[in-house]
Amino acid sequence: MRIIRFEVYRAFHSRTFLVSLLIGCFICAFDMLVFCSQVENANLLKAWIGTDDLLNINPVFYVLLPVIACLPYGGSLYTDIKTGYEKNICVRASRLEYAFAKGVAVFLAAFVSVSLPLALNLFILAGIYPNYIPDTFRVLSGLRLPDRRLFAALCNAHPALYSILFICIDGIFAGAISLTSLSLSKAVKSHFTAVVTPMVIYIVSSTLLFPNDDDPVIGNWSIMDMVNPSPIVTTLWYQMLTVLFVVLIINIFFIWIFSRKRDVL
Amino acid sequence: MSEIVIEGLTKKIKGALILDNVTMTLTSGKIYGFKGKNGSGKTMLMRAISGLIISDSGKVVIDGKELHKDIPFPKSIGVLIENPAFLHQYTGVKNLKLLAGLTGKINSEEIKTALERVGLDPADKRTYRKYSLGMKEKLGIANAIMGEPDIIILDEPINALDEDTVHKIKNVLLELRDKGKLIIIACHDREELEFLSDVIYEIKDGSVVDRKDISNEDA
Repeated sequence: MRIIRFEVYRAFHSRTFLVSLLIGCFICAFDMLVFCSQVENANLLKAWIGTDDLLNINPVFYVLLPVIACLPYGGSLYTDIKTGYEKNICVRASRLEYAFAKGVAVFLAAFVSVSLPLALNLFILAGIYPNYIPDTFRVLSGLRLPDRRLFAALCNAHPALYSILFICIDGIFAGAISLTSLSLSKAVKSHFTAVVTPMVIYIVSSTLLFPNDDDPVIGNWSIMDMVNPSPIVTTLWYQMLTVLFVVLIINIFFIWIFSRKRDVL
Repeated sequence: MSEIVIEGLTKKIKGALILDNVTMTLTSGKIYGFKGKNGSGKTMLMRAISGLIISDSGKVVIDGKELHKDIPFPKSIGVLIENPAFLHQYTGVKNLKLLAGLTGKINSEEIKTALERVGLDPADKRTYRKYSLGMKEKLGIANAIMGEPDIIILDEPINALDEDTVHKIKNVLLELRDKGKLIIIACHDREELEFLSDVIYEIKDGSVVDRKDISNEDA
């Protein structure tokens, strides 16, 4: 418990955490300012960066999501190994406790750095735009989602709750993705590589897995689209759970293998 | 009170034999000096005793408990191995407080005492980033001795220090030894090592080639 508190403290007091939050907040603030200056009669669902498909800022946030997630603390194990700081820890805690605490801290820092800008954006816009339910006949109120879409009933009845649900989902995916940085720490040669590699995997896998079709196809395995709550989301719930489970299991497996019996030099 | 029993400890890294069948017994209330050329295996032996490396064969038993089998790391140990490493954005006292929080056994007063013993000011507001080489070394020693752990391991602790501080550190180590702590020290300065140590082990190519009991010689 003490080591978790120690790692979480380090994560949330790091400069990289602040930088990551600022990047996320800057993108969200920019989207909000541009939207407010261009659109008057819209509802909250249309204005929120997650579901705003009028401007092209939404994709920027979701392409950069892995960097925003990994930057705060994802490369910290690499740094601890490189500087020798881990020696101070490994004579006071077991390697597995250390790895577990690192994982918790990395996950939480990523969750907050992705969710907080999205939540702030929603919170501020809620003071500007009304929370009307989506209406098929009014484009600026956001289109009603077809019933077969993920969380369509929630979106059509309670759009703000739909946004909040996706803020949590994005945070969880960000946490899972940031663990990739941790699992790569022993294999990579620089802090930059540890932080950026998850984004490369995320973009390449999402591009390969995106259905090559002009029309949105139900059953999309692309992670980049999975975390994006905009109306083009075509993922099914079991696909989302499967991908999350696979990402978590692979990362936890590599972190465990790496931490179980290794020399601290 | 601590006893460290090392039996047939062997370690290879990338095919190179780093420790070769090392056997020794270390007891509390003594200062053990490790001497040897660069790359002889002194630091690696210290790492093995600290639980930082896992041996290929042989074992390290601390107070009857085998490392990596019964315990993952020694229960009461302070180490300074190679360069001190701390968080650059925090002051010395903050760094030590964070590390002390990992065990919960060391209070603020003990941290301040450790800093003062090595000649650092606990009220110093400078961050570790702005520390000189000597101050970093002192903080590393303070980290190793804070809370007066049963086992203290110092690898080349006086290299970057001025004469006054070396004198101060020597007194601290002798004081800790008299309190029954087991201290292991590696040092290039033969005179200093012989002054401080009760027993000196000479290490060459990963093996113990000589054991010299200084306290008996003095007697």
